[in-house]
Amino acid sequence: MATASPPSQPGADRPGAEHLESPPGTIVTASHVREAVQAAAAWLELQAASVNALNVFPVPDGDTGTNMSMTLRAAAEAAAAEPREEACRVALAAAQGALMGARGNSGVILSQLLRGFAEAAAGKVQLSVGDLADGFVRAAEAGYRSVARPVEGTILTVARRAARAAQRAAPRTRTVSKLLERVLRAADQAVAETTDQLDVLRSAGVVDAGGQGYRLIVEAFWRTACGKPIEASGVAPVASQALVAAQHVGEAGLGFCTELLLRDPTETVESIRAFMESVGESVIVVGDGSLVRVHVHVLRPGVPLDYAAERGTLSKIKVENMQLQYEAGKEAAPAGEGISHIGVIAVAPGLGFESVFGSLGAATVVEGGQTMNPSVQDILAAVNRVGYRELILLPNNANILMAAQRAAEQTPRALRVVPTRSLPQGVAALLAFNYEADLEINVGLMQDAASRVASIEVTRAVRSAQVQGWQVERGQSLGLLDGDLVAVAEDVLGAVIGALARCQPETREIVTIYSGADVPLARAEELAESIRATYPHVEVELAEGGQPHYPYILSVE
Amino acid sequence: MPRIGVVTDSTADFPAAAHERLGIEVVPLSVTWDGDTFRDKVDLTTADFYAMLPRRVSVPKTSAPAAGLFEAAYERLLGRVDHVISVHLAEKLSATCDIARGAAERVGGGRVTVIDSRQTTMCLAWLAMRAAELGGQGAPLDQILDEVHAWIPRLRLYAVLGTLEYLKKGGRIGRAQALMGALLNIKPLLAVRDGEVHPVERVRSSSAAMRRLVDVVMSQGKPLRVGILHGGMPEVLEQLERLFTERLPGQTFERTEIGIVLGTHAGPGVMGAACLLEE
Repeated sequence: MATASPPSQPGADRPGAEHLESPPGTIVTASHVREAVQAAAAWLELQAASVNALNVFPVPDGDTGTNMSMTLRAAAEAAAAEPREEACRVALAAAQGALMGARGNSGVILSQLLRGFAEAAAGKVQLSVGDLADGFVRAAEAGYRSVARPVEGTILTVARRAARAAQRAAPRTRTVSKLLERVLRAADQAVAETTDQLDVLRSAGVVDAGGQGYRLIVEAFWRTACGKPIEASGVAPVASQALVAAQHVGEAGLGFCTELLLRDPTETVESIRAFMESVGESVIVVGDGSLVRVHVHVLRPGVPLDYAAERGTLSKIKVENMQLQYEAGKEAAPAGEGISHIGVIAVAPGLGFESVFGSLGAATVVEGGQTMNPSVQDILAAVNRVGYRELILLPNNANILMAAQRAAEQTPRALRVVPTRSLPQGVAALLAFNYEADLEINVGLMQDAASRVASIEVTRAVRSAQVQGWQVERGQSLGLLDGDLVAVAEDVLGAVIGALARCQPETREIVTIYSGADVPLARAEELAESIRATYPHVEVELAEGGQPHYPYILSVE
Repeated sequence: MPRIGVVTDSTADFPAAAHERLGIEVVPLSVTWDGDTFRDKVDLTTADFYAMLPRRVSVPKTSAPAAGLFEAAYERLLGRVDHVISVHLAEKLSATCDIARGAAERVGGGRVTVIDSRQTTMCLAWLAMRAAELGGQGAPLDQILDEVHAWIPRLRLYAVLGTLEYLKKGGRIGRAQALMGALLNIKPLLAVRDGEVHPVERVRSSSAAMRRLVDVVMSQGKPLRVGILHGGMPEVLEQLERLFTERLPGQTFERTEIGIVLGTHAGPGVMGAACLLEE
């Protein structure tokens, strides 16, 4: 077994043959690998939104944070499923899992980093500090190999510099946690410097998202090694990076982002890559004799698909029109910037609400809501990615109020929280924003507006229960008025009408219905019609909220 | 005693036909619509205009008065007064001021002073009225001009539109673009200040619109004069006046209707308030 014991400290951390007697913290076992990959997946999941936010390229083919987190999730599952207690086996399982689950450019590159790491671990039951350093080096090398034309200022650069730090530190480092600390420091530095390495990052004033993802993975490894928790801790990550996967840079035409998985190919990886490079850009072709993953940007997606179909079994095809994504992205640009020095950040689930808040001038929207509360970091990342001298935060959910307050305490910027407890309150608050007033007055106006709105949320009971004096059976529809259960009905419509009847509809003027992600438009229109028929004096407006779990959210004003 | 004549344009919305009482000459802007040209407040009433809006597909276009209209007005007035004060719609919103200046140069012989009011509707009307009143009292020209200029920064104009669409179509939306949004039931509250349209906030219902309009005006300081305006819906004046009276008991409110040129940009459902603040 290879060792990398520092000569200056003989025997101190010599894993080698005596690994079973190794001092704690000096070796990496199979279960350490499982734990570390699991932790990295969890850590990236927590931070995915903040990494996603770094996308400055007009057409990220998927969000970097989400892609890397999903890829790691697949790696963690594969690692957990590997029963053999050999570090090399678990590392290989993780790499294979990552390749199978890889999403987007960044996911594919990540899977190759893991593959390189697994190659370094090959044949080893446990890994020494030196092996670990070797793993970082081989990972970076594999990363560079996976990309047709490597570009500096991306995850590759960060991986390479982290590897160099690992290589240098290993001979002088005893424990795994110390080595990882060195690597993390180097990654930190490298991520920060990506801004100046790529024009597109420099002009956006952000760092590379993939590089940041890499840094977070190392951070998760380090946290695991130190026994630090993997949870929202309130410490802001190096905020703001940009996903500009290397291959995107300088690309002119947008075309289609085409991804495919080819089983049992009749051609080698090299010849498949050569073909893809001849027909498209942003080419990534990775894999082995039995499974090849292809990512390519082409004007005609049929070309790579036809080619692949004739050379193996096609599976998992994904084709996205990048021009349309680009245009959608442009339209979503916030309108208010520059008019006021106060920016509003809203938390909202679903694309519909996101675009409602965006179109009403929110500086940015943090994804989150009922069952997906954003972390303090997510909020801080949003704070860091917008300009504005002063900020107002709309949490739009009672469960997010505390994270919002924490974020406000932790940022050095002037951030005030208007404690909106529902999405309708948030919309009402944002609408009340006054472009001529200062921060304090706006906070007052927005609080006042939020308090004038009744929020109705309709959902289904996930189990039978006795709630607030109601006997609720599983599957029944529940109507909540400002958080209180006020109606129970067999169907959604009944719950809406029941809840509406409880908020003095005769004194109200406008009802806005936000339909959920799973509600067909026709059903929502039926509901709108039925409310108009019952309350003819009320203006009823229908908007797509896109929220999960709640078929309808209504704002009653 | 110098005799002073006052000229303004049709975007000045006078309360109680004050222009007739004070002998103010009003030069009309015009609206061209599907090949028809209507002179503001001459050929088409606001009520008829709003009735036509939904029936015509195309968007009406507004245009500044022809230079000849100004020349004729100045020549006519200069025959019987010593000096003409010609106060107009904000230069940043219309070519009217420019055209008036050109006409003044050609036919004024140094006896026509053109003023950019940086305002419109009732605020512009008040300026013209003040000039005419002072002229009628025999005030010297310099004093009249000074007073008109001193009033300009003390004027406030706020309006709630039924929709921003018309302002956008007419190319006058400017910074108020920020108030556009995904929801339909949004009524933008705007300010005209320093000759430009500024976004203030958004309201969602007519009652909230009136309440906020009153709040915003009252937040500006103590008003000496308060005007309330509407575009084709006189019924809102009663409600607006009731709300204002709660805040300003004993105050008289000057009422007016917005003409078709401003109506083209404001769209249906516009209401507003103007005030002159204390010094």
